[in-house]
Amino acid sequence: MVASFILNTRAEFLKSKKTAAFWLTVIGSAFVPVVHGISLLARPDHFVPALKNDPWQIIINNNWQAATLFLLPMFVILVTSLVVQIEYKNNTWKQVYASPRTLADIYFSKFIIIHTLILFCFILFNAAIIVSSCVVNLFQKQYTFFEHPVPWKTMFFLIGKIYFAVLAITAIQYWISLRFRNFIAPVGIGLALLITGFIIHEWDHLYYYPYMYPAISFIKDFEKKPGFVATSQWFDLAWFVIALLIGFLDMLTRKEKG
Amino acid sequence: MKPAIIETQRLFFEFQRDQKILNDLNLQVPTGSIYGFLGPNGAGKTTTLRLLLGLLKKQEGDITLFGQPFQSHRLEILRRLGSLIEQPSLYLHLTGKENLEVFRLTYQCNRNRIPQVLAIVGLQEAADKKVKNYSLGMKQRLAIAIALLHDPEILILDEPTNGLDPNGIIETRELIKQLNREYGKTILVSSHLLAEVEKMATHVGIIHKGKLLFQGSLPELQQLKSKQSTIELEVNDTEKAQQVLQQHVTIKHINGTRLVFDYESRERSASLNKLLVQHGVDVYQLAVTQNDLENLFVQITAQ
Repeated sequence: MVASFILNTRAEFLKSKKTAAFWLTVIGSAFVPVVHGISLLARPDHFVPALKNDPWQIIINNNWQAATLFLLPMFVILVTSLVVQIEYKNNTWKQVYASPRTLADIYFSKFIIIHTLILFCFILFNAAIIVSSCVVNLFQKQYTFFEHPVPWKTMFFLIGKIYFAVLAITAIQYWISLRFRNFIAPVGIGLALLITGFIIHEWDHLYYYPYMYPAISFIKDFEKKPGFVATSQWFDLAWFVIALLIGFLDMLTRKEKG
Repeated sequence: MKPAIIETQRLFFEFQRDQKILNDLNLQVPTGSIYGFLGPNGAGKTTTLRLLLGLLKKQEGDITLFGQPFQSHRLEILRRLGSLIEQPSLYLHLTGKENLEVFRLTYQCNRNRIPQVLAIVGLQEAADKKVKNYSLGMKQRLAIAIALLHDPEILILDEPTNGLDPNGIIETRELIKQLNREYGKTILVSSHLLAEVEKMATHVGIIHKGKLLFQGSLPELQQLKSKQSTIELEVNDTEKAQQVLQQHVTIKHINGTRLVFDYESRERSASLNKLLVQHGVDVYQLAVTQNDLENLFVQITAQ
């Protein structure tokens, strides 16, 4: 049972090889760091003094801030849909369901792929920050990146925190992506829900709203409200578990598969 | 008749209320047969095959494969059968070999099965090409290779020759026959072409509007067909020909210079021809018109 689940997850990895989901992860992760690197090169007069004392903390923070609010949730929405689309686009759901796999196996192995790609993106994102900053430093000697140690702990902590914050979104989007054959539906719904979050961002009970969890976990303002961040984390977990189960039940009870 | 390896009993199915797609379908596919599942588009063939694979939720009736009910033995049954439903299901961004690898992991079969099945379907040379560059025929063959990967006892193929050029049709047909003959596979293959099924099947089931109109061996079907065949005769003088033939056959109708009457046997056709010539009637053409699927339906339903 466990062995076949591992093998099937390997098969799922093989399927995602060289797909749009994979390239989005690789290229998408480098986007913000590259843009930041270019701005460092273009405006040394502004950035050299600003990054004098603690360049890594500041550049890491700037990069994550640019990504976390919108681009990151958007990436999660896209990558979830793209992974599910591999089957829809190739008309392969029927072959998947007609192979000797339990439905739980099918459902969770694909979900693991999505999470692996998201974590992979976060790691690449951090790596891209380091590489782009060092490359900038090679050309623009006034920066002090080489003189300061890379704060691995901060980076690791950030990955953990933001990854936890997107859990609810992944489960909800996974369910929606499985529900609709058309790629536009899950992406459109996800985008609408995300934008709704920005519209209602001043709501006192924003911790109910899963698409704002990355913002809540990153923006310092929310920490000023007592218990707000912790509450959002509990709701994040609740949304994650409930949406994942609903999605699974939905798959189990569907009359027509593939 | 050998025991049925695939069996449905009183199978009913509807997508909407009161629109029966399958109506009391009792399918019996004997072990070791090539079972041609014949019917026009929309007759319920794909619905039946999808039910057999668990792609549709069963509503009423029983489905048994290898003597076991499908619902309670889904995994065991699926492990022992290979399938191809409608157009081939392939990952276009992967190569032929990678596609096979994906399913090899699922079926947990030996790595050397990949070159083996590639050889069976004759795709060794294209194995490392991306499937999106394959022709339809190659895709179809790769899909069959996937269905064969775990050496299943049953193959379920839904219209495997659909959309293929004549060459591809012949190749696929030969492959199906070979798999049955040399590897002993039971093959359930659907088609909407009677001639196609006659060229490969050992057994035939004819479905129309969700009902099984005929089920039996190929000789049984041919017997039924010959009963319904007619002879069309083109002569110079229909009146005279009619007079000559009147005592021997019942003329069904006359159409210009052509007479139509029931076919009985080849010898009978020859003797009737001789008779006409002896009476000085010039016979331009004598043809046995076999029934196409449409006529066959009319006749079977009329019985």
